[in-house]
Amino acid sequence: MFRTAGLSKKYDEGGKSVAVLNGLDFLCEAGEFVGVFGASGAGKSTLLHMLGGLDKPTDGKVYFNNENIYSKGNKELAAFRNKKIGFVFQFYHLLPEFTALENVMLPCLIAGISKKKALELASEAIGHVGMEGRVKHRPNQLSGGEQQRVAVARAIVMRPEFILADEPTGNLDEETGIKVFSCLEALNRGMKTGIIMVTHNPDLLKRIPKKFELRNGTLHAA
Amino acid sequence: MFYILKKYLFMKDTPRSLKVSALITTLGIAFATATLVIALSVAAGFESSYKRSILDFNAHIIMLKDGGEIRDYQNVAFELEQFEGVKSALPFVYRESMAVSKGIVKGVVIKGLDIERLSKTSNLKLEEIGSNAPPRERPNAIMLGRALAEKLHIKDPSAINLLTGKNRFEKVEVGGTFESGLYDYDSQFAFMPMFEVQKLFDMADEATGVEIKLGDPGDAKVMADLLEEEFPYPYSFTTWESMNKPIFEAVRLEKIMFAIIVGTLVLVGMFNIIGTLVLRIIYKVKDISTMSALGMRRSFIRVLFTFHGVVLGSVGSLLGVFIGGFLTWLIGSFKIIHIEPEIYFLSSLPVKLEFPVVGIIVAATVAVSFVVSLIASTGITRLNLIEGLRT
Repeated sequence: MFRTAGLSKKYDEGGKSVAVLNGLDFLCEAGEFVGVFGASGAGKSTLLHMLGGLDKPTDGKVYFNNENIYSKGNKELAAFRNKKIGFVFQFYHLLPEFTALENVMLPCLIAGISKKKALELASEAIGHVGMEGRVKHRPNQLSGGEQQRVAVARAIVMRPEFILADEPTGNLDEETGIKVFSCLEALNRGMKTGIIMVTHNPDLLKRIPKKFELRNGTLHAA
Repeated sequence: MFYILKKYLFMKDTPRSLKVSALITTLGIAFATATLVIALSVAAGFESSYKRSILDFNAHIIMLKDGGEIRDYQNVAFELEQFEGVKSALPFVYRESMAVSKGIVKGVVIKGLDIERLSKTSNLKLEEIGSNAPPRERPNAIMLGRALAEKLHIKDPSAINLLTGKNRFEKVEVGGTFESGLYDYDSQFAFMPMFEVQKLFDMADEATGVEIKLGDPGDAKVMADLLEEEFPYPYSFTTWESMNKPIFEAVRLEKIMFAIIVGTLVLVGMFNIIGTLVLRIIYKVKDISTMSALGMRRSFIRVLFTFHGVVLGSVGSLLGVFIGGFLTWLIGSFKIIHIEPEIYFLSSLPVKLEFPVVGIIVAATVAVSFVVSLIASTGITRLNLIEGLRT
């Protein structure tokens, strides 16, 4: 379960303080599929980064299963990102030196899981997104949709409680975007993985059961 | 984690500019290390050549008597040889003279001793004139330093005129030549049987001193102290190290200077690692952000880049040692660099590859590459990872 209390983020821009999030309160239960939308620059990605322990809030707290994640040390925070959260980014962010399968194995190897077990888990995850036939390809040999499916497999390989997806279809054509979204939907239903997804796509938003608009630094139910 | 390290080290997608930068850094370190290896090998070569020649030519300890010659030198030599660690004790006399041959006049220092015993107890190369064979036994003949023989144009068995103590020249048969390896000795000295020198120079049956050879020249200082206790004043004992202190001090200083100057070159090469790593970090900021998002600790991400720097340093260093070692072998084996013997006492550049020194060079370069890589990778802790995730 994710919960934020009075979450604020301010940036310093040329000596001027700019507030992106402003006392944001938010609750997302385990296994829920939540959509977040809003104008560009509204702070949607910032919210996801803060939920994922990547960007420390200026003020307020982020609770994961009732534990303030920013009270953890760097080591514990890294372990939290590795085991509890899966990230899916708009630009896939696959490592170019690694094959599709190796990219999916990466979180397991980071967690210290043996190469053999990591291979097993990655093969299973890659099966969930239907990329079994492309495991030995490197990212530059895959299409955008394929890369994003590999990124989804990477996000779920450690069986996280939540996937934080930042515009996962934003860089894909409509048909491919729907395929990737369907993949996330299936994981949410099948594996009961909670998903918080930022998207601009109104068609996809219609399919998400719980939606919020990020406006003036706070979330508004839509 | 080693799997990730290995994979990340041999990045296949590295842009050409980064590859060139890494190559230049590696080659820079390699050439600087090779220079250091060669420089220290030359210094060690000089040290070793001087040491070998000095030990071949001179005694390890010289016994002298204050205020005059040693009369009962045979007994003294016998007593000295009873000491454990003393290999031989050879009485000698010294006289300065002039040698004349084929119209050429040269100053010569004549050392009178038992030549037969000398040839048995030293590694001096004694040869028959005009051939490489050992000299035939000629009791009254003189053995000239090879360079001295060349100066006197002596190529075949012949005789020279020697200025004796009676202020007149006497004909002396040349029995052969010796070569110590040090031009300074080979161009000035000549050996003769001791009794012959005593006779030529109207000397009593006395010795100037006794040359002592030890089983291990490294024990000279300790043995000299021991002998001094057994043979008190007016006897005195001087070791080969103290006799040749200036030359070894000069070589030691040369070694230190080489290490400092060329070591600085290596250090400059090492600092190029910082530039290469910073470029790599900037290029890889997106990957660093991704790895961080996947739960990799920044400390491990630092390890990835530090490891890369250490590999660059190590490869450069090993390549340098290989190049330096090969060139040293080439110089040493084929004597390709000739030097002026009248200045350096040697005719070709001496080299000696000292493996402990090479080991220290490799260890030091790896350690320095680790430190500079660590410095360079601190940049990772200051990176704005969020920016890396937005692109």
